[in-house]
Amino acid sequence: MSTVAKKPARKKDTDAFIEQAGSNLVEGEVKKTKVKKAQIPVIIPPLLLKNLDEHIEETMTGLSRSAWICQAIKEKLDRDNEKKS
Amino acid sequence: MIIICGGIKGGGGKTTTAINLAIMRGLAGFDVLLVDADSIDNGNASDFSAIRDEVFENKGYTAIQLNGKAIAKEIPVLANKFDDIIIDVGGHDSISQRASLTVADLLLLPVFPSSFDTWVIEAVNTLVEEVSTINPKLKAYCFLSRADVVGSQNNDTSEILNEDYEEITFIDSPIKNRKVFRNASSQGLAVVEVKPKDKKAIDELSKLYKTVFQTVFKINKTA
Repeated sequence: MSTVAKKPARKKDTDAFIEQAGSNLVEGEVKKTKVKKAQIPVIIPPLLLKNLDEHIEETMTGLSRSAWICQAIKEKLDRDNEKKS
Repeated sequence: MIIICGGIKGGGGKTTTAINLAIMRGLAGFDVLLVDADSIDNGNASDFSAIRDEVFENKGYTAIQLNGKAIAKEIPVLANKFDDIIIDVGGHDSISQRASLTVADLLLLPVFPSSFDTWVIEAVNTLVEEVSTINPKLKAYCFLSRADVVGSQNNDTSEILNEDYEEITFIDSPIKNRKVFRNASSQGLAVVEVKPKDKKAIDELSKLYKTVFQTVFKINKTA
C-alpha cells in the first residue's frame, strides 16, 4: 500500500459549476436564456381532461394544467431514458 | 426531500419561507434539518433559530450552518438522517447556492412582485438550466412572495413568471405581505403558531406546503 496518495480527482462538472458562482450575472449570458415557451394544440379526450383537472385540483395545489402536463412529460422522458441507459 | 429556498436577489422572502416550511413540516411529525447556508451573518435562519431556542425547549427541527462546496458533499449524507432538508441560501449567486443546486430535489424561488425582482429570474433560469446536466432530478418552482394584498402588480408579475422561463415552473400559491410574518419571526414562531391565528396567512402557507410536500398540512405534534 502506498504511503503517498495522489491528489483526489475532482468531480469536474460539479466543481466547475459551483466555482462559477457570480458569473452568470454577466449581461448577455443572462439574456440568451430568455426563450418563449412554445404553444402547441394538444388533442385530449374530454374524459381524460376531466380526470386530469380533478387530479390537479385534488393533489397538486398551485400547479397550472400546462405546468402539470410539462412535468408529466419530463418525468416520462426521464423514465424512458433511464430504461434505455 | 432536499429543498432550497433560493434566488439571487435579497428581500424576496427566502428565509421566511424556509423557516415557516421547516416548522410546519416539523409540526406535521417529520424530522427536519434547516440549513443556514447564507454566508452573510445578517438576519438569517440561524438568528431566527437562536430566538426560537429561547422560546421552546425543542424547537421542532435541527438547525445547522453550512457553507460553500461542503454543501454538495455533506447534504446527501445528511439526507439519509432526516426526512427533509431545507436550505436557506443568501440572495446572490453564491458557491453555497450552486453547491445546493447540485444536490437538491426542489428549488423554491420566492419572487417579490416588482420589475427588478422579475428580471433577475432570467439569471436563475440560466442557473437551473446549467445545473440540470449535473442534477437532472432538480425541479424549480417560483411563486409570489410578499405579494400585495390588493392591486394588479401580482397578476402582471404572475403573467411574466408563467410564460417566460423554461426551467422554472410558476406555482399559483402567493404568500401575501402580512404583518403576521414580521410578528411571528420576531417571536421565534412560525405563522401557524401565532395567536390569534391569521387564517389567510395560514391558508396561503398551507397551499404552498401542499404543493411542495404533496400532502395537506396537519399538525401531528407540538414544538
